[in-house]
Amino acid sequence: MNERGAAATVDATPERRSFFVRFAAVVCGGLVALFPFAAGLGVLVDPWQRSRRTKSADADGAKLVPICPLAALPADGAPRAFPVVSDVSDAWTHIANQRVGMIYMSRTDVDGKPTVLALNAECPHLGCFVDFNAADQHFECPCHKSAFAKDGEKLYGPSRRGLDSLPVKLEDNGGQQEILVAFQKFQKGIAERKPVE
Amino acid sequence: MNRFLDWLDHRTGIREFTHAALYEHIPGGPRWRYVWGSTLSFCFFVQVVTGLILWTAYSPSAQTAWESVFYIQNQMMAGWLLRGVHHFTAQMMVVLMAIHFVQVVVDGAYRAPREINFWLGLILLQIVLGLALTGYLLPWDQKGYWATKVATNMIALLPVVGEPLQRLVVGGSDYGHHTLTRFFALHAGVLPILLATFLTLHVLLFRRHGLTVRDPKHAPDTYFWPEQVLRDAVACLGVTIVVLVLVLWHYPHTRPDLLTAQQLGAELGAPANPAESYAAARPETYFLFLFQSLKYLEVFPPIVGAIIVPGMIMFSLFLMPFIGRWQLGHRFNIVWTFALLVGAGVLTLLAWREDHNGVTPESQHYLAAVASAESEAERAVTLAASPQGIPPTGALSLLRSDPKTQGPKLFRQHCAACHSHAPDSKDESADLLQIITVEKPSASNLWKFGTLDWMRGILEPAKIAGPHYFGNTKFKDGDMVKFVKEKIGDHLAELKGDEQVQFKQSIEDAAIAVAAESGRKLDGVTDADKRIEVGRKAIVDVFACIDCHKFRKEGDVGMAPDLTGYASREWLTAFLSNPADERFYRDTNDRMPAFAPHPNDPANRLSPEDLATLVSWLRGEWYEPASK
Repeated sequence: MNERGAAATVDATPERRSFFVRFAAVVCGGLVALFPFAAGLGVLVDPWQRSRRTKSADADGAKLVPICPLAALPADGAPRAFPVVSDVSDAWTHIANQRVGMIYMSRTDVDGKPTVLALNAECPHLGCFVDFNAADQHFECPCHKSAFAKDGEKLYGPSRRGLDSLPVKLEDNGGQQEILVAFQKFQKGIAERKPVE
Repeated sequence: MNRFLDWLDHRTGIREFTHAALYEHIPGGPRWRYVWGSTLSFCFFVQVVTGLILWTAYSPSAQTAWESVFYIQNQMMAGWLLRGVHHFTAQMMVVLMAIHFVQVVVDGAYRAPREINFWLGLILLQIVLGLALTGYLLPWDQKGYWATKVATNMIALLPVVGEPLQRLVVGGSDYGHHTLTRFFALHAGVLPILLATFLTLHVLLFRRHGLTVRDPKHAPDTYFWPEQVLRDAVACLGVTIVVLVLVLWHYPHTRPDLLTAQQLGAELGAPANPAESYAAARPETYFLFLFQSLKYLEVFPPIVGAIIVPGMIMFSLFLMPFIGRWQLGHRFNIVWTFALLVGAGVLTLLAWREDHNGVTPESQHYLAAVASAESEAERAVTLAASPQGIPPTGALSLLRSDPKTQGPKLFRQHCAACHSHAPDSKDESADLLQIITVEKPSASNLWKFGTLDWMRGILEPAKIAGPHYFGNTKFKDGDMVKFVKEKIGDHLAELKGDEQVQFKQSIEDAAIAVAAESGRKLDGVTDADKRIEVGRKAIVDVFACIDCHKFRKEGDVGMAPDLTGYASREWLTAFLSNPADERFYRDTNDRMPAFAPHPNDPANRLSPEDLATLVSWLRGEWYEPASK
């Protein structure tokens, strides 16, 4: 009995030691295996951090971008495509006066008071640029055949909302009315309008 | 869990595979001395992971390589950590490889039947060095650019195939986009794949032959798992700690309050500039011995030092298994290995001492080049991080039009044959890089030209004929010097009491009025608008400067330089373009060359861009970040 007990104690020590060694080996091995991933994690998820930074910087919404003089847009209610030109900051590069998007503008004057409607040309379904079909007088997406009325209202097709309208401001610029648009992109594929920063 | 493992094992045989991996037989028990191979595999793993993540942010082209690395290092979250780990793990790999190699030779692990595995190891060593060399160029900074140029020029030394081979590596006749894309393809594609392949073969053969055990009776035999795994893991942990220490403490002079990402981890020099050689170009530390040996082998044709000698040494290593068949040969191998290591060490030390002794002119030149390279790198990063940002033409164009760093160079090149640009007395606040002292100036000192201090000085009788102003020119006894000495100096001496005070005030006001012409802010002047107003009147009524000078609506050009807009951008540009113009010195001009006499003439000594940069610099106008 005693002998067996003694033998058991002798056996138990290496077993416990062996457990410790296994445990330590797994911990150390796991640590070093994770190390390079940990070192690169910041760079990998940097885009999250960056979008948050720009969001806080532009808290008061999209910047107004001058598009064209009011006189350049006939008051016939027909949508016309205009490029949106703005300064672009792309990672390390800063480029002035780049085309950042496309909008459709149509002007209707009510009692001599000019009213401009600006629509983002990106289809709210998945982001292709829509075309204006003059024969049918509606917008059509070349990708998945969503269609929208002249005012941007959804007519048919897979898009879950109408075209995204953008705030317009008319500003006097040296005796000439200038159209400014708060250009903004929105998340695609969903029913509500959620700005993308 | 067990059921899942059973399922998986049935389909993949994973249990047997893991068992084979973990239950490697270790005669004589686990030892710390067996860890080196594992640490090297670990380093490779770290390089693959960190390298792939760096790849997500790196852009190899002449206009984006430095810029994207700058962005990783300074703007991305913990980018300096990632880059630092990649950089210093590469360095560790070279050191660990040397240790591994010495151990293999000392233990005779290259002898039959392990010769082929030894050769595989030597191939791996070459691949790792190739990775180090190609990686050095990728940031496209001055250091990597000029150091790698030396390496690729060596390729051209090879007979017959040299020149075409160099073209293949460089991707053309000179460095450009394709040098980067090719080096990147080698660094991130070809070489890692080769390394992984040869490493697999190396490990497979190692498992086939087993450990080279010196003392099988050291302890009871065990398996790889868990005791040896623990030792290997602890060693790898040690490697990571050393790497992290290097990343964090690479710059011991760093003060925590001034700490920026630029100072942590791997160095990033100024963007590569093909037009400006980099006197501090040196290869990575572990290539320094080759660099140094070239100096001693200069009596031979260049191919000897660059290719033949290193090639022969490499060949001698390949022969080791044959030499080591005899006991004496084995001893020779050991001695030869240590001789090579000591030789490389001594050469490295010599190279380092030659550069860093600070006594020899060569060393002083090197240290000065390093200092200026460091400040240029810092400046490049400051400009890149400024709100203006990096233009699509790249960071180099930012630096090229930066008055702070280009101004001194342009001044040295075009003006410092005659003019100094240095404070009279020691100015502690002055930036040393902006001070250009000429031994024997033969024209005025342009330090703070056209500022209030400068104007005060030129109206001071004691100073006007001194070296700071007209002392070294043909105007030493000219009308202006006479005027200041007699009409100001002598007159001031005659006056007493209130009249003297009033006259002094008029001199000060006149100085203020002319200094204001430059359009800069007048520092330390209270009620500046009123003082300028009074000063303008004094220039006309009290001093009659307009007898010779044109000043605003009074006086005429033709006799002395126009004081209207004195030292303004426009004035300086016109003056530097042609000082002999009737607005300035006309035919009385004293040796000053016209730097751009004909607008937009390519033959002008200063291009419009350089002229603008020089003018901005003379006016002390350049970007500084707000925090400074």
